[in-house]
Amino acid sequence: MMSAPSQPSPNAPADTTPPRGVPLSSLSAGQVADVCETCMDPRDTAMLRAMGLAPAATIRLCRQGEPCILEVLLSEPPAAGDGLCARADCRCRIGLTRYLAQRVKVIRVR
Amino acid sequence: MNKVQASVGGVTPGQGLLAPRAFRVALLGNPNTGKTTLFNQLSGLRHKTSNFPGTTQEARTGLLRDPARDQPVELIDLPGVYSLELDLHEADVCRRVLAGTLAPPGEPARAPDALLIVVDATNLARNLLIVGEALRRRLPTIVALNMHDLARKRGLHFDIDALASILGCPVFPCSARRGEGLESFRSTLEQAQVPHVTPPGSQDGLEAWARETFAAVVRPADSHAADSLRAHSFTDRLDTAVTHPVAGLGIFLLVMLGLFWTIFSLAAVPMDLIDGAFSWLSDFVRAALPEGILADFLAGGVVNGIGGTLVFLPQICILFFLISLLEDTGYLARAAFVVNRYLAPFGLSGHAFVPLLASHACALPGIMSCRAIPDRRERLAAILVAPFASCSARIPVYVLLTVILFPGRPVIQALAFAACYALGIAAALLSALIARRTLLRGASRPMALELPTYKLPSLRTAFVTTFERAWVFIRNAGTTILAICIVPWWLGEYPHVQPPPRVAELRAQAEALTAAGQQAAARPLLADADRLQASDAGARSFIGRIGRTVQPVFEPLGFDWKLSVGVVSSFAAREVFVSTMRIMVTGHDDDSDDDSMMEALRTATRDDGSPIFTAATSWSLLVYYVLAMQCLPTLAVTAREAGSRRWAFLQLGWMFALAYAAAFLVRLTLRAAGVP
Repeated sequence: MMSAPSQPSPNAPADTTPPRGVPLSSLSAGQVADVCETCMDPRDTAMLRAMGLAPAATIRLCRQGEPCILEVLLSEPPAAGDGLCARADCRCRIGLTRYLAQRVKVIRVR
Repeated sequence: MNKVQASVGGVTPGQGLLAPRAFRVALLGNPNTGKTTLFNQLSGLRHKTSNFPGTTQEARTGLLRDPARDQPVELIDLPGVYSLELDLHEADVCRRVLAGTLAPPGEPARAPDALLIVVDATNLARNLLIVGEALRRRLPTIVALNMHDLARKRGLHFDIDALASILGCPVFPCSARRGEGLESFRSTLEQAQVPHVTPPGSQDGLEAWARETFAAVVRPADSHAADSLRAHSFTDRLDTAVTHPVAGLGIFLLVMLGLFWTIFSLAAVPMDLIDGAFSWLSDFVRAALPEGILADFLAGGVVNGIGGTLVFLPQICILFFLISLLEDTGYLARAAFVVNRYLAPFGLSGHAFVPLLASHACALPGIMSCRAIPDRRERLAAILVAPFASCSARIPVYVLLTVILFPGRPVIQALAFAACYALGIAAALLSALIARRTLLRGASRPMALELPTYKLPSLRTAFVTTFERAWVFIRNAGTTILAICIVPWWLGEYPHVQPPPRVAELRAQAEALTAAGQQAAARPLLADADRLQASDAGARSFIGRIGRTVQPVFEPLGFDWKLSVGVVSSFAAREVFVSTMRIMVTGHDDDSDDDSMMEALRTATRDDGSPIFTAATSWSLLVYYVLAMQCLPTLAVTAREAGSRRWAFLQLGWMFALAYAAAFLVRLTLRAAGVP
């Protein structure tokens, strides 16, 4: 099982590599984020991915803690307009243990 | 187009040349898509449940008659999976059924004639992933767009024709819960065809294909979106409450308290009725048949054997009905997280809690409900340890021994009673931990669960589920359980022996006293004669002889030959211990006067005149009954649900060894502390 990557220091010099993301467990309830990677047993990664928690999926955190509850929104809006409102109608709600939530890396969207 | 009609019309071997082969349709889909509800709607009660051969995975098959065809349609409800490619037992079963290498028991293994993929319209984007995987299997396919009504309410509109065109197979919208759109099933099935599209094989490509397909067939939500977001807020608050470490646990305990209160209060009357009906039937058979071995066998072995098991049917029905309702509301998935944190250190997850809880009513439904545990090793661990939960059959033994230990002290009795339950739970958790560290080794999979939308439960689904579970139980009671109950009955009844001479002397004295008008003086003599005759018959029966033979084994636990006979005779069912001891000590099983019966048991003596139920022996016996596997029906169900008899033997051996060791240590410690 891969270990979770360490957090970058706030004083570290800026680089040009893509952001590695923060653990899902560090978001607050209501925040929306995009999944960038999952660092866990490949079987769990495959399961989460099949459940919709794939890289680039947009999620909304509903509850922080144990369990961590999130909604998977669509990665892309089905049509132009206010994407979030439209996307909110097609979703699935997933509960994760804290262990898994710490290993899902996301990039905050809102 | 490769229409399905081209592939039907074969004949299954064994069905005769004139019997057409059933047209096999496999139902595939994600969990929580309403697949089983659709299966129930289509097949009604005309379905059966068993396990796929060599697996612990449930196989549900239904049959429906289609007037348009000259052959029946056989539906196979496959396990709900998120992906066919996952390294999971359920996914493997799906793959093998679709490949034609696995079929329900008694059915020939062949590829399905058609595939019905059930998708959740409110979550189409994710559901399209498994559709894409299934389309690549090149089977005649149709797609049911379920929960179409709910999606419409949320403002989602689908272009069904466009979806059918992209998927290359027919699509029909429906609402299985409301029974809407199901009439389209048969006509759509006629058009099932091998899809002419091949979605990408890579996961990245498949996800992109699903997104593009979704964007092409779904018109975005409109004014409903604001309402929908408000609903999200409500669901968020509800989820926060029911999964809260403190409030969530409180809600969970209340729900479970209500569940068990309902089971025990509602089941009492039908259980009494069933008990009474089988007693009447047993008497009727004895009266109708000439005295002899056939009457004994039918009345004592068959009728009482079936009755002794079916008496738990009301508890089982109510339990499964309530669990089905709870599951349908969406609450159980949340509750699984509440208890997950307490079970995880022992190698079990929140999935195992309902089976363990159900086992406190009866281990049989508890073990049967282990089917809901997705991880195979965890499922086996839960099956192995479920019988440690103190079932209702243990209650008479607990009552007897706590009253003997603490006469006239109800508070202490209640505490001892509660300690028995706690010991059972502790033994279950400890055993699960050992099993998961040895035979069933492997990292516990961290729990990730889809949390279904909160909704009102479907009574129809609950009734169908209950009927299905009850039928499995009845079938089991009438076959395996009956077969294994007859053996201990026969051992306890035979051989019939002449009563000892002292019995005839006592009866003669009683008759003389009665003739002299001294009925009051004759009664105790008759009672003594009855007691002596029954006690002698029990001691000289095969089971009595076995009890005497094995008594040295139980000697370290403080059991004399009478207690040993009680333990051996209750090997098939724990509750038999109390009635056996009553017969052994008092000569009858009449419980109309509990106080005098209890006094007789408490003061019962061994052959050397010392008391049978000393404090140390009673504690030892109590611990033994908390931990021992004294229930043959449970072993039969374990063998069936675990997929092999060796798991049942392992369960029997482990529970006996643990019970024996714990009872021995308890007695040793008490004796060392000076307790008699």
